[in-house]
Amino acid sequence: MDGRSGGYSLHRAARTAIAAAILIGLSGCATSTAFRNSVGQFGTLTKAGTNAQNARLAAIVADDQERIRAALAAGHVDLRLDPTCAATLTSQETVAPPCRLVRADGQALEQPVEIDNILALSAALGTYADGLIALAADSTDDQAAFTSSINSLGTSLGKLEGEVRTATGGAPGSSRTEIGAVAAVVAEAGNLYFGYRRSRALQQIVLTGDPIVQEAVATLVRVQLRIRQYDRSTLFAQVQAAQQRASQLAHDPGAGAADLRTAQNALFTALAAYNAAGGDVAKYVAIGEAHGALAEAARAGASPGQMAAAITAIMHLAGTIHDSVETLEGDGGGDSGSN
Amino acid sequence: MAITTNSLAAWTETNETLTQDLQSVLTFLATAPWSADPASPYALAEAEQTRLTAAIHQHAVTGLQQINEEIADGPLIAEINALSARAKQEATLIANAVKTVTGITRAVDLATGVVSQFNKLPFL
Repeated sequence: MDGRSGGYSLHRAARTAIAAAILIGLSGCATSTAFRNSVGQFGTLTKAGTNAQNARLAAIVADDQERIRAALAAGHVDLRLDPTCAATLTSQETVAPPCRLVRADGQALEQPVEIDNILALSAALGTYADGLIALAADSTDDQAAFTSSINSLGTSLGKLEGEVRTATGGAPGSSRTEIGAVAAVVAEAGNLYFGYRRSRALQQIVLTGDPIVQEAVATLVRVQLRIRQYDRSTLFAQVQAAQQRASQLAHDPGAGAADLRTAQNALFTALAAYNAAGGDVAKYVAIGEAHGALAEAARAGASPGQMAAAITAIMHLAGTIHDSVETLEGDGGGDSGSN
Repeated sequence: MAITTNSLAAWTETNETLTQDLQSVLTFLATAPWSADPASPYALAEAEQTRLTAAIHQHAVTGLQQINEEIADGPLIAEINALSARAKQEATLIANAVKTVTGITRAVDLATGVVSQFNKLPFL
């Protein structure tokens, strides 16, 4: 092959690479970037939401355990060691079995609520979100590494070509420059391809996963509804206590208006706290809606309209999660300040 | 224990019964004459509303336990994990492309080195 035919071949390769780059670029690179960004945000927000729910569930388990232990003590229940504890002491199993307690009266010892599978489902959704984040991640570093490695390959190929020319006694040519030019285009095309592939993989995964995610979200919505019932019934008991105190003072001839005013203010405050609690369910509904919007965008090839709908759904999700995280941080920070 | 639609329906039915019972008590308490006598209908109704609220509270925990068992019996976690694995596999595949090109470059450099040494041989 002479230098001219080699150059022609390189030019043709360059044209093919440029055509491929344009083709991939025209196939929706801009919307793909927006789609990838939306998917990444969905992943981050979903993780924040499930983390908040897990924290609340852990608190409920602790409450339930406390209730059971308080009842045991209040009922003077006599606790003994389960006879199988002997085997746990000398167990040769990899994971030593736990030693348990039994009631001396033979009744079953009540166990706190188990939530391990709910946490596992939540964790699976979080891992799914991680996978989406990884796939949708900012690929600037990857792109730079790929461009650099392609350029290195171009340089190496140029050197090889020069050595081959020397070995075969060929005249020095301009192939090294041409190889460099092709390498630059190949790097660009490759990066566009990877971007396209990322988006395509994301779209397929989001589409395949949507029914599964919707089912998982529906389950977590039910979990959240139970949590809401649990939390609101605690607050309702406080409303009842405040109402009973206010009624008692309203019928007490010895109570002054100021006393009654204080008691009724406590009732108003308790009622406001009760009515304000329970907005968290919307957050889980929003996770499902945001994923549904992403799936719709993926199904439609991520048109600008669909992307706008997906972004709106994710912004809604961001708002509800932000609110609930703030509430959670507020709850953890001290008392409710309702006195 | 396998959780079926029936047990979910039973949970919902119990929840509704508790709600209706509480509503009946609250309806009575809304207009009943106040009394401090523990044996009075008013005081008994107050005690009953406290009991029902506690039952609703505990029923929520039962509901969580039920969902926990329902998840254990379903394929949902495995299905989501499969999706996650696919997403991570794809991300790794793309990241590995750089390593592949680097590997090819190393092979080309090796070949260049061989040809270069070849060129230095005196009989050529």
